Amino acid sequence: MALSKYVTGVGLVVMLLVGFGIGVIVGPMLMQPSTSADPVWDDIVQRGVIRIGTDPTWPPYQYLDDQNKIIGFEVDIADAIAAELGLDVEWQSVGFDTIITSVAAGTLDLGVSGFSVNAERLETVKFTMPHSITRGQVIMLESKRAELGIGMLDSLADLKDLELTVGTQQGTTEQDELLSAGVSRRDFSDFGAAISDMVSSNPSIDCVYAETPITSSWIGQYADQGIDIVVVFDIPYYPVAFVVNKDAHMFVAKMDGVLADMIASGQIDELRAKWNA
Amino acid sequence: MEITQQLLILIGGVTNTLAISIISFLVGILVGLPLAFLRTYEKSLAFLVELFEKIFRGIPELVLMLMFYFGLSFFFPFPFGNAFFTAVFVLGLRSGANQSQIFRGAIRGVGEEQMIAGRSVGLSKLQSIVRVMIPQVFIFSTPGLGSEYALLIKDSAYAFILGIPEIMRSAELIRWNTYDLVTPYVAAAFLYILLTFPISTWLDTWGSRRKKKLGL
Repeated sequence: MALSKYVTGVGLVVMLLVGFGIGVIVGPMLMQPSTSADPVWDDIVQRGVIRIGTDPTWPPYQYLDDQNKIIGFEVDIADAIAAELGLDVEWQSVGFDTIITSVAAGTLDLGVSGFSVNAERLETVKFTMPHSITRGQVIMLESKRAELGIGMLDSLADLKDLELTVGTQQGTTEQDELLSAGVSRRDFSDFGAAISDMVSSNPSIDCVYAETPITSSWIGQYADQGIDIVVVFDIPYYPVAFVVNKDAHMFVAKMDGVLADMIASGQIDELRAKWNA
Repeated sequence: MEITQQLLILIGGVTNTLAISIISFLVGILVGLPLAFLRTYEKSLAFLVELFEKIFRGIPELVLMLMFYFGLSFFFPFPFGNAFFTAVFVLGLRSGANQSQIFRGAIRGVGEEQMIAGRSVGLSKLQSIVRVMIPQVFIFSTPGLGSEYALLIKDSAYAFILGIPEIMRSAELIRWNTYDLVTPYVAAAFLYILLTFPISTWLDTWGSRRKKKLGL
């Protein structure tokens, strides 16, 4: 009786030790998350297709042509990169707000939708090298500018001195800047609504603070209708890049390589000129 | 963007709106009908059913949709990474919670004596429900189902936030590609009226006529 108790005790200790030993040896093998450095790139290579999500409501970066095909400045860049990497692309029209989540969840490989690089987004996803830097611009009707008799302004504070009311989109950095400059402001649900208000027959604002490519595309749009809009304030704004999954180290390196070549060879600038972006 | 192209985009939107609403409506029947009978005849489970209804009826569809899509797609890319699935899942369950209430009212309207009559001729409880109660419950619930369908058509507009090309998203695509910020919304409003008004009105009158004919 006493002996059997002793044997059981020793047996338990031995089993615990053996179990611990196996755990120490096997554990790290099981813990290894993946044998590959970049599962996203492996998937893409295996599929042969990059799944790209975009919201085609942002001319000239991405919008729809007569056949509802997605075209634009960024579309051409992404297509050129894919061609250089020997991969096909599958363009998916999705909601802007869903792109970053989908890329993080792995249901999309690449987000191409005029994404500006910022610290918040970098916590969730990775960015490629920027292909452009947008410009923050205050635009107004040429007739209004002539009436005020002003040229290019040096700072947003000048708008305050001129006692102008500026339209902008709520929740944007433009709004924050106008707020700290103490400029009289009216916030709209989007920049397009602000610009439409500015050119209407009974405007509630004198000018709009927005950024390229919105400003340039709307200026072009109204020029076609014989309405002249001019830029009266112009500063460098945010870098624009493509969005990839945080694990996609290899994928991002491959794309950055091609992008660097495209920037150096002037191909990006050619595309920018072609799309007036 | 040509006007014909805009019309094609909108027609594509109508197809998707109808697909989301009709599938959600059917999911709603599949969920709501059993729940209504459970809540009426299985008092022990009534609490759970009520909890489900309270949760899904108490949270705005937009919140539900974003919560399921953004919350679950990260952990379960399949199937919640699919925006269409998520939209139908959320609207279907929400509609199930609504329809459960509609059916419960109808069960009360049909009356307990129908159930007793069924049992008295030797049908089991389940048989009485399927053969006697359900056919009458449907006729009693047509006005409610009509407005529930109209509600689904309208609520499907929230799916635009997930990028599903239904009517609202189509209008948005046209707005930004034509620089016309107002007309596409007017067109969308017209289409929603066109989709909701005739069907809910027709269901309502069909139900009343049927009820009169059957002497209920």
